[in-house]
Amino acid sequence: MLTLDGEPFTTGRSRFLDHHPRFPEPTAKVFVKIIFAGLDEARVAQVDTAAAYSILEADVATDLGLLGLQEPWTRLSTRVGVLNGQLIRIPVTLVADEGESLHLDAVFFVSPDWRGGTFLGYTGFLDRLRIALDSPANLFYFGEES
Amino acid sequence: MSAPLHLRHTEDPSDVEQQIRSLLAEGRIWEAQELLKSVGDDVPVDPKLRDVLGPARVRKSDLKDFDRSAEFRWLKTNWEAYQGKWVALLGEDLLASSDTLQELRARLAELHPKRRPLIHHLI
Repeated sequence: MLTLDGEPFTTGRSRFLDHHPRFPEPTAKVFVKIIFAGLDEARVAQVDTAAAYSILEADVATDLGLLGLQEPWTRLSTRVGVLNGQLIRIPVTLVADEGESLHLDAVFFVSPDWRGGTFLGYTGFLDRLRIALDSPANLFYFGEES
Repeated sequence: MSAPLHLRHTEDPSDVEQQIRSLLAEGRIWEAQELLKSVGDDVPVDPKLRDVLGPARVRKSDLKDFDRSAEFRWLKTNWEAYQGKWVALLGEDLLASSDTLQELRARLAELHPKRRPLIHHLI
C-alpha cells in the first residue's frame, strides 16, 4: 500500500463512491464501505472530515438493537437541527478490497430522529486513522496510526 | 480546532462526572471529552461514560470485501427511480428493495445471496 519514508503509511484500500445524485454540485462525496459487527451486508457511509462526530442512521441503529435502550442524554447539532440522542461505541469494519481491513470500536451519535445516512466523522473515528484519496481512480487508502 | 475552552473543572473530583454529564446534556461533547482528559484516570467517573468519550480502538481485521464498481454504477444510474427505498445489490443486479431496512434484510435472508450484498438507503 502507501509508504512514507520507507514505512507503511496505509495498509488497505477500497474503491469509493464519489457522487450523490441528490447533490449535483461537483464536490467530493466520499462514500466508503463498512460492515457492522452482527450485520452481514456491506454498506456505504460518507466520510466527512468536517463532521465532529460519526452519526448512525436510525434504521441501522434499530437493526443493531441500539434504540430504546436508554433515554437520550446528549445532543448534536446537525444540518436538520439539534437532535437528542446517545453516544454508543459500535464495532465496525472499514473493509478493504485490497490489503488489510481495519476493525474499529468507534463511537457514534445515535438518535431515533436521524435519517440522513451514516457518517464517519472526525472525532472518535477518522482521528485514529491515516487516510488518503486517489480521486482519479476513486480509491480510498486507509491505515492505523503507528 | 476552535479556541481553547474554559473548562468548569473544579478541585472537587466528586463533581467531575456531574460536570461531564451536564456538558453532554447541553450537546458540548468535545468539552466533555476535554474535561475527562484533563482530570486523568484517577478521578472517579462512570466507566461507561469514560468508554464512550474515549478514542476509537483500532485493530487489523481479516474481513475483506471486493470491488463494488458495478454496485456504485447501479446506484448512480437508478438513484432517482428508487429514491426513498432501501436496496440490496450484488454486482449490477438489484436483489431486493423495500421501504424499510427490516423488510429488506428479511427478504435477503430468504434469498441467500452467493456473495455479500451491498445495501444502501437512497435518501
